[in-house]
Parts: sequence; C-alpha cells; structure tokens
Amino acid sequence: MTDASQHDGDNNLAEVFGESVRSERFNRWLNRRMPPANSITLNQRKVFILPTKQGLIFALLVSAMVMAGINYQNSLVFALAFLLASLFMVAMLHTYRNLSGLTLVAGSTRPAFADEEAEFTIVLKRLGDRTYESLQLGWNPGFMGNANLIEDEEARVRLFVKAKRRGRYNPGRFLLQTFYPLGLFRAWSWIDLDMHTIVYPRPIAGGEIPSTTATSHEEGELILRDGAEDFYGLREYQPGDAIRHIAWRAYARSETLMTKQFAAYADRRVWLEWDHFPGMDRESRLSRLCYWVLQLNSRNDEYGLRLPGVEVQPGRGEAHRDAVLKTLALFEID
Amino acid sequence: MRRVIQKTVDQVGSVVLGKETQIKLAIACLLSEGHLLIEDMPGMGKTTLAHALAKVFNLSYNRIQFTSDILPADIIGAPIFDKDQGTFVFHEGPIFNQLILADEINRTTPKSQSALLEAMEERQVTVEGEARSLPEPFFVIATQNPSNQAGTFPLPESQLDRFLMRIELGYPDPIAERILLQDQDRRVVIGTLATAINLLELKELQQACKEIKVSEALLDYLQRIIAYTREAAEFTHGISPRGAMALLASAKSWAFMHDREFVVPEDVQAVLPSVVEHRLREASDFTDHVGTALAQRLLNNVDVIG
Amino acid sequence: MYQIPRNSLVLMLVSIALVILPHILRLPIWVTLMSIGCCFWRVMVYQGRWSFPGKWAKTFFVFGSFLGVGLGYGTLLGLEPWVGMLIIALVLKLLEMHRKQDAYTVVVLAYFVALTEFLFEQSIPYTLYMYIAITLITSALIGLNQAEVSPKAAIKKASSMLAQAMPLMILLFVMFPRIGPLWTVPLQTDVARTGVTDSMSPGNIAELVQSDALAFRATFEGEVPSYNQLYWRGLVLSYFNKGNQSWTQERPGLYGQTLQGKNDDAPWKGNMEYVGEPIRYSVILEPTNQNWIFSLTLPEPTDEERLGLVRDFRFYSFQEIRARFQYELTSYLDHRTDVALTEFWRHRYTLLPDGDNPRARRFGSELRADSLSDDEFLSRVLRHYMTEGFAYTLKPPTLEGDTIDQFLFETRRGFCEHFAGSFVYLMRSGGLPARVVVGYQGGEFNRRGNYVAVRQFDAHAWAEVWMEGRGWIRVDPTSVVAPERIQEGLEFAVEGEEFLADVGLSLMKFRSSLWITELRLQFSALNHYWDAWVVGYSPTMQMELLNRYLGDIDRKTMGIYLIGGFFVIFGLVALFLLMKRSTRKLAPVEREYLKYCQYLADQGLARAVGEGPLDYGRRVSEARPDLAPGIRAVTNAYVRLNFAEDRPEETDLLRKAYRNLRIRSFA
Repeated sequence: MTDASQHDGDNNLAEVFGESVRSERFNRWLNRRMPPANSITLNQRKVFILPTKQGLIFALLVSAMVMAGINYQNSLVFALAFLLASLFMVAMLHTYRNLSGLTLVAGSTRPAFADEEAEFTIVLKRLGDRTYESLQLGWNPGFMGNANLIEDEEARVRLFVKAKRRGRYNPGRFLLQTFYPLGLFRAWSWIDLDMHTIVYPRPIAGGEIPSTTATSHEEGELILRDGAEDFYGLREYQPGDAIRHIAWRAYARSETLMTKQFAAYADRRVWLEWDHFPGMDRESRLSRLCYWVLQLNSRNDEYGLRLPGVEVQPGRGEAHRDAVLKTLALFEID
Repeated sequence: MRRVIQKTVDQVGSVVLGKETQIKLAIACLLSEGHLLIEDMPGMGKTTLAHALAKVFNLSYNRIQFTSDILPADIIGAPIFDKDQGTFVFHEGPIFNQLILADEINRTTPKSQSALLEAMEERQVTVEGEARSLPEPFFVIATQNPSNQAGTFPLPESQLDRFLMRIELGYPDPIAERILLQDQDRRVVIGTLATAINLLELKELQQACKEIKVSEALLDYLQRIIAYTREAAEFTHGISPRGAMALLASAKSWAFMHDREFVVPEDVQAVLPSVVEHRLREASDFTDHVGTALAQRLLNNVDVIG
Repeated sequence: MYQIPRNSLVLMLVSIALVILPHILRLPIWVTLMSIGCCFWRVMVYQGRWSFPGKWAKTFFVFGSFLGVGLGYGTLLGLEPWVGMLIIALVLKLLEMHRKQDAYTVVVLAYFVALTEFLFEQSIPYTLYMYIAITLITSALIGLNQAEVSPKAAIKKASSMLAQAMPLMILLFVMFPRIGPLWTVPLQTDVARTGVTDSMSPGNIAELVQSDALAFRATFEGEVPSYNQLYWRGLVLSYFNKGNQSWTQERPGLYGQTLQGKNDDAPWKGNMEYVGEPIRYSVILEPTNQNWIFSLTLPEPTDEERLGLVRDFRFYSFQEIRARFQYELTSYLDHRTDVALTEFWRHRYTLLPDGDNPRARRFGSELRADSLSDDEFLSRVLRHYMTEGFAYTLKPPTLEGDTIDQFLFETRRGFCEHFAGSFVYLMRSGGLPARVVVGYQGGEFNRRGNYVAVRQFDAHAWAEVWMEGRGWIRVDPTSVVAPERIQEGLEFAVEGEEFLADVGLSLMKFRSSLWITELRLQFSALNHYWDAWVVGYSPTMQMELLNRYLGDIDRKTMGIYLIGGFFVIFGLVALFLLMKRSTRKLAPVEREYLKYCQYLADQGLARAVGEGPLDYGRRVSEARPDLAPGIRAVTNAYVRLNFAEDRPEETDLLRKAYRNLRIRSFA
C-alpha cells in the first residue's frame, strides 16, 4: 500500500469522527493496540465502551429515584432505584458482550471508478453460543451496515466507500459499534482489516479512437456464424445442420436440401494508445482511455492497450477488461 | 492400495510413464463419477492417458478434436434426412461413448463448448426437443492448452466448475523420458494393454466409494477449508457448494483407493489442489498467485484440528 | 421521520397502561380518559390514519391539562397532583414521539410513574405487579435497540437482565447508606384511617370493631404473653366532658417533661418500678395519621428518636404516623407505678364535672361510704356489673343526656367503652383516682411468623385505678361481664350477634375454618416479613443488621464494604455473562491429541498447521524411530476415534496409547 492511498482512508475518518478522536497520535496508538490484520477477533483490548447520552439521562433518573427514596424514606422506592442502577451496570456488560468475541474477517472487494463507491465485504463470524445483535459498521456514519448473528453463524456486510483517486485504495479503519440491548451504552471499535481494492480512473467521454470508426462491412473480417443475424446465402445441406436453418422453400422448388447461412462481421482489433489524446495530462488521458475501454467492451470488440512501457495484448471479455482497467488504474503508481 | 485399483494404476502406468499421481487422480475422478480436465501443453501424453484409461477400464472410447469451426451437431449428433424414407433419423455423435476425450476444448466457440458441458452435467443430450441418455458410465476427459493463445476461448469459470478435477501432467522425469524414447510407440503399447476391470466391477467400485464413512470431525475440517476460501481476501469468490461436494466425493474415492473405510484429512489434502484450483480465482491481489500456490496456502492455513 | 418499531411501540403502550392502571382510582376520571385517548391516537398515528397533533393543539393539551389538575385537586403542590401531571406528561409525550430520543423520554417517564406507585402502596402483590411493569418498560427499551424486534425476545431479554441485576440490587438495598430526608416532600393526602381516637364516648369503639383492618403487628423476642395479658395501651383518657359526655386526654401541658431516650431524666422517672422479667418486642404500626403508639405496660424509655415516654407511662410519637412505622420496646408486665401520688394528680384523677349524672355519682359515693376499704369498694362495684343484669353487646342502645346514669340504671347493655367509662365515673364518685385507657386487647398469634396481629376489632377500653400503696392497677370491667372477650376475643364474646356484620367478605369471618385460617395466617406471615424486613428497612435497622453481621462498623467502613461488595458481585455477574466462551470447544479426543502434539513439540517436533495426523505421524516416526511404534499407536487411536468411528467423546484408547508412548520414551 502506498502512503497516498493510506491517507485517503484517514481523511475519510477524520471527517467522520472528528479531528479530536482521530488525531495522528491516537492513530498510532490504535495501530499499536490493534494492528491491521485480515482477521480480527474482538477482546477487551479492542473494545471501547462508554455511556451514551441516553445512558447519562438514565443515570440521572436513577439518582432522582434515590433522592425520592431518601426524602420519602420509602424502601421500595429505594429498591426500584437500585434495581435500575444495577440494570445499568448489567446493561454495560451486555453491550460489551455484544462485541467481544466477535470475529471480523476481510471479505471480497469490488473495484470502483474514481469518485464512485468501492465495495468491501466484511464477514462477521461468531463461534460458540454467544449471539450478537444490532451491530452497526461502516466508514460513513450516514450509511452504516447492519448485522445480526442470532441464528446464523456468520453474516456478510457489504459496505461502500467513496474512492477518490485512482490507484490502490485502502479505506483505513472502519467503525463497528453497538447500542444493544438498552441503548444506554455504546461499545465500539475501530477496525482495520487491511482491505484494499483497485480504483480505476474516472471515465471521461471524449477523444476519438481512429481505427474504431472503421467497423464497416468492407474493412471487417467476414465470418460465418451460426447465431448471427444477417442472411448471407445458401449452401448444400450437410448432416448436422440445424433443421430450422433448412431452406424449405428452396427444397420445394428444387428437391435439393439447402441450408441458410448467416453471417456477421468480426470487428478489427483495436489498439488503445496513449498518443490518441495529445496535449492532455496523464490523468486526463487515462480517464479517456478508461472510457474507451468501457465502450469497446460493451460492443464486445477485441482491443489492446499501449501505454508508455506497458502493453496489454488485445482480447475481449470481462477478465480482459478488468486486466486493462487494472493496468490503467496502477499506471505509474508502483 | 486396493488390488484391483493397483492393477489399473499399474496398467495405465505402463503406458503413461512416471505419472502415478496423475493416474491415481484420474481414476479417483472416474470413481467419483466426475469429469476430468487436463491442462497442459500439446504432446505431454494427454491423449495417451485417456486412451489407456479407456482400454484398462474397458470403456468405449472416442476422441473429439475441437476446432474453431466444430458445431454442436458434430459433437452430439444430428438428425439426418433419409431420402428413401423422407424422414429424419437421429445420427449419434461421438459423444455417445463411455469415455470421451475432448481435445483442446478451448479452441472452439463457447457455443460448442457449452454443448459438451451441458451433456457432461446432465448426462443426456436434447436434440430437437427429444432427450437422449448418454451411456453409463460417462466420463469426459477434456484437455485445454494453458496459455491464452490468440483465437482461443478459455473456458469461463462457471463452466470450469463442472469438472471435478483439473490436473496437469507436466514433463516426464528423465528416466521415464529415456524409456519413452527407447521404447516402442505408445499407441502400440496401448494396443497390448489388457482390460483390468469390467463394467459391473466399475459400478461396484463407484458405489463403494459413495459409502465411505465421513466423520463429523472431517466435515468440520472440510467446512473450515471452504470457509477460508470464502473469507480470505486473496480469493474473489470462494468454493461453491458444488465444489464442496466435489471435494468430499473425491476425498472419499481417494480414501477408498487407499484401503480405508473412512476419510482422513490427508485424503482431502491429496485431492484438494486438483479439485479446487480451477474453482478459485485470485482476488484483485497484486501478486499473481497461481492456483497451486493458493491451494497450498489453503492447506497451510487451515488447521486439521479445531 | 423516525418510526418507532411497531413491536416496541406495542410494548411501550402496554407498559404505560400497566403503570397507569394502579393510579386510576386516585386520578380524576378525565386523566384516565385522556390517557386512553392519547394511546389510541398514537396507534392511529402509527397506522398512518391520523397525524400528530399540531403545535397549537399540543400547547392547548399541556396547559389545559395542568389547569385541569390544578382545579381538580385544588392545588398543584402535593403528591397526587404531581403524579397526575407526570402521567399527563407521559401520555402527551407519546403524541410527540418523533425521534428515538423522544422514545427514551417516554421510557424514563414510565419508569418514574412506576416509582410513584410505591408512594401509595407497598404490599407484595403490588410489588410483583410493578416488577412485571418494569420488565415490560425495559423490554420496550430493548425493542428500541433491536434490529428485528420480536416482543417475545425483548421480554425474555429484559427478564434475564433484571434477574442478573438482582444480586447488585440486593447489595445496594442492604448496604447503601440510608440517611434521613433532605427536605420535606408532599405526602399523600390524608385518607380516612380507622383506629382509636383520643375521645371516647359510648358507641364509638363498638363502631370501630366492625373493621378487620390491621392495626399493628408485634413480634416478641421470647414467649408471647398469654392472651389476657395483651393490653396494648395507646391513650389515657382522664378528663370527662360534661357537654358531650366523652372521655378525653389531659391537656398536654399538664404532663410536664417526656422521656426521650433511655438516659433521659425526668422528675417522675423514679415513679416507675420494674419488677420481674422484661418482654422485648417490636411493633409494625399501620399508618394512623395520629401520634399515639401502642405498648404493653410498663415500657422502658427508648432511644427511638420519634418516640417520647409520657407522664402516664405510654409513648407518644412526635410526628403523625403517616406511613407504616416500626419500633422496638421493652416492657415489664410486673411493675409498680406512682406508688405515691401527689395531691395535684390525686385531684386530677378524681375530678368530675359538676352536676351531671347525679344517680351514678350518688351511687358511687354511697357505695364507698358503705365499704370498709377501697378494695371492697372496687369489688362491690364490679359485683354490681356482674349481678345487676349488664350485658355485653355490639349494638348497644343509643344514650342521651346523662349517658352514664342511663347506661348504669336503665339500658345496662353496652360495649367496653360503656363499662370502662361508667366504671371510672363510679370510682371517681367514690373518691378513688381512676382513668380510662384506650387501646387494643388481645390479637391473633401467627405461629408461622411468630407475631401477634392486632386488628381494629381488637380495639378495647378499660380502666386503671390508683390504690394506696400499690399504685396504678388495671381493672377491666368488661372482663366481669364478658370474660370470653378478654380470654379469647371478640367473636366469642358476642356469639349470637353477627361478627363483622358491616364488612362484606372478610376472611376473618372464617376463623373457625381451619384451612382458610391456615392459608390466611401463612399469607399474613409473609406480609409480615415483607413489611418488617423490606418495607420497614430503616436506617436504624440497617445499622443494627450490619452491626450484627459485620461487627461494630462506622459509616466509612460500611462504605468500604459496600464498594468492595459491589465489585465482587459485579465481577461475578460479569464472569457469569462473559464466561460462555466465544470459541468453539474442541472435542475431547482432539484435546487429548493436541496434548500429544504438544509433547512432541516440546521435543522439537511440532506439528505444522494443516498437517494431518497420518502425515505428522510419518514425519515424526522418521525423526524418532525409537518412538515409532508408540506414535503409530497414538495416530491409529486418534484416527480411529475421530474419523473412522466418529466418536470424538471417547478418549480411552487414545489416552492409553499416549501414556504408553510417554512411558516408552521415558524408558
């Protein structure tokens, strides 16, 4: 991971949780306390817990009840106040228990284009009898994912984080929190599962790819295809030809079985070149190249990529597209 | 190893030299009623292995050479117009055999590929709305060139899942190669091979493999492996339930071949690379792990106990 | 907008109904109707049929209902108006529940309304009821935080959490320092209480005994004195009003100093001579809204701050008894008081108004003149009651004018107050100092709880006469007319008349049915313990209890004990909650196998992660051929148990193999 990508994540968190908690020192402390890892099991070192605002109000309520008990010299009022005070303490244990022992594992990630949301899957697992309820997790408090582990032993939560720049992206620590069961306490942890994904350049329409304009029938290579649509001609029937392609009208005329032939034009291989976009800076070129990759892919063309020092042989299909996009994403970053 | 199995391994091994492990895996695949994908360069003895297996197991054999212009009808057969009767008569294609060698399957179009793969999966073909069963047993050995050469159509991942195992043959070791060079043509040797097992026996063996005992502890281990592939960041996607069942079935056959009534973790480990490698895909990771490395990582990271 | 989860809303509405329900009788009817209306409105809002009330409507509701409370109760200061306002705030907040925060406010208010219930009622059934209500409020709170709300799960969770809170609660209840009130608070408005009054005229005790309400309960440390010894002195009435023909107390100023505390001194302290064995007992007095305290004669002064011993040897509470009050006393049934009576007191106790009841007065003075001694006079008066056709009845005829004359010479049918009143009148007519004592006589002994329950129908009046050289002696003229009353109780004395006629259904009527009595006594005993130990747990009791079990401790040590105990109990609860390990447990056979792996690892042959048992066995055997047979045995045993036979619980085979391996390696 690069410093640049690391920073992206941190900026996110700083915006989200406020500078005070995410100071540089605090970050370093967190990294020492729970270093990034693919799989993290929460324990008392990793879980923080504090009363919520509701918890403080509840504590105030209990104090008021104790005052009422004193002034009315009423044992049962005392009893109720003490019951709620004890409930408060028990609630703290339950809230802590609702995180501790939980195992988080980095799941799959899905790349994104710059300025779009990259997808990260986080797997939550429980072992043993303990159940977990109403867990919230995410990088952005506005869009927290929810998870429960009551009957299931594992849950997958898909989280989306906006990726800002192309390259490798590490979203940094995310927040895992719970208020269950009474909402009087908040137990939370900042977790870094060392996840990363690739951010492709932001596609920007523009420019022309010289050779792509020439997909006319004359220049394309003609191939015969079974599933193609254009009728091309007739030939004599051969065993194995599909019955539905037999030209029955011709048979009626001539007593000879003829098979209809269909054709399509195979497109030429296209090279996407760095030099197609003269006078632009690096990122602009990459954005436009990215746009053309998507265009060509959607037309199922065969295309290759040539960047200074990098070349991807022409090909087609999803895997090819991903490889080309990855090349664009990481160009001059390593 | 079971005597009868040992005999088949020896027989095939006398033709395909120095490849005992691959032969055993291929036989395990046959016993598990799965299909085999061999990925290797041309001339490594893929055809020889398939042919020898057919001979030793006494299976009807046919080879389909896949080319870019082969049509589904060339594989599964087609109705042929009988001029005398004025009707169409179904003419069975080469797929109506017990052991099919689908050679260089990545040379043909996806359409033809899927015709074969569907037949493999369903063990029947449907032509013009009529279903026709394929013979029993039905064992496909497909070969594929590993490199992404121009003009090839590598099998998509979703289709790879239909093969129980994928193996590589690899170069023979020097001693084996020397014998190969000195000895007579392999095709002649195959002709001399004796049948080691009859059809009924094969069916019994297949049934026996299914009845191998699997303990809870072993299922735990298996599930831990599966879970690891679904969680670890290095895989984009984990092993599917079909893959899990394939792993178990192969491990059972492996255990059976090694004289055990039950499966031990070592059985799973022995078949694991062949069964899961082609089902895993590395994530958008930056190191280019090959499948083998991934499978090895799996074995190293998932404990047998716990 | 935030929508309260449906099931949480249901739990909330149910718990609100539960906490309001016990208050209904105390609330103006419109508050109840309003509560129902608000709950209904909230449901409609939830269903999207109605909308929340607008700003002006809300303002109107708030001011209107506070005005209503003020007008309804006549004041806004006082417990009942406060509770009314609290309930109104609670139900109105329901109509303002937009955010999650508002839902929390509703829950907090509901908890508080639950608390107010205890200011009115403290019995066991009510407490259980409130516990259920608290559980439901808590489950509503859980509902707010559940992802998938299921009321059943929420209630279950709330119940278990409250159960887990119990140990800490008990510790706090017992140990948390109890201090006196910090400021005065409005108490419940007076409700009519039955009980003896400080004015006795013919008929008013007969009225009182129509009630079976509990007056007080007394627990004796040792033997319970016999029934006819249980004269609970409450009031001494020594002044006869001519006007309404009633006996009342002396003016307080006349008594002079009262004794507060054991070491307090007063000039008349020496007038009490204690003889014989002390009787120790504690009394839980039901609220009377009066100041008097009931005790057996002759009590010792006590350190209880609220009580003072008055000149006529009874206790007086400086505050009205508005809540159940518990006190402990020591009395001596054998005693002598006022052996010498000053002229002043002799005069006061023989004082009679001028010119009333002439026949009684004449009868008394003539009888004294005929008698040789005070003793003879006394017995002749008593014999008069016995022989002259006097009858003990619950329904005495109404008397008018000179009531004592009328009773003594015309009707001759009366209740204890008739006998006591007329007797003292006759004594005084004969010049003997005498006074009326009002209190209770007898009580029902509860063997299970080892206490005596005294009820209103045990109310009684009797006389005390001062004899030269002997001091005050108790004379009960009722015992002459109806000895059963004193020996066994009222219902035996009034056989033929309907006992507790005006009380609809009372278990007390079935005192003759054994099993009902048994059941009633058991429940009463339970109530008694509840009242004595839970409801009546006072600062004094706390100090006594802690001193008894923890030795003589001061507040500071108590605090240390409290904090220490708190952490211990909290730790135990935490242990209980967090003990369930979150990791999956290994099967026994795997644990045993890992021991073997550890054993080999100690010798530098650790098993690799992911290495199977057969591979490992093979590798280790090659490295240590000497151990090969043992390793083979262990491996075989393990593989057999865990994989071949699938019996991971059995370890015998493996354990044996492992032991052999170790023995061999040792050799």
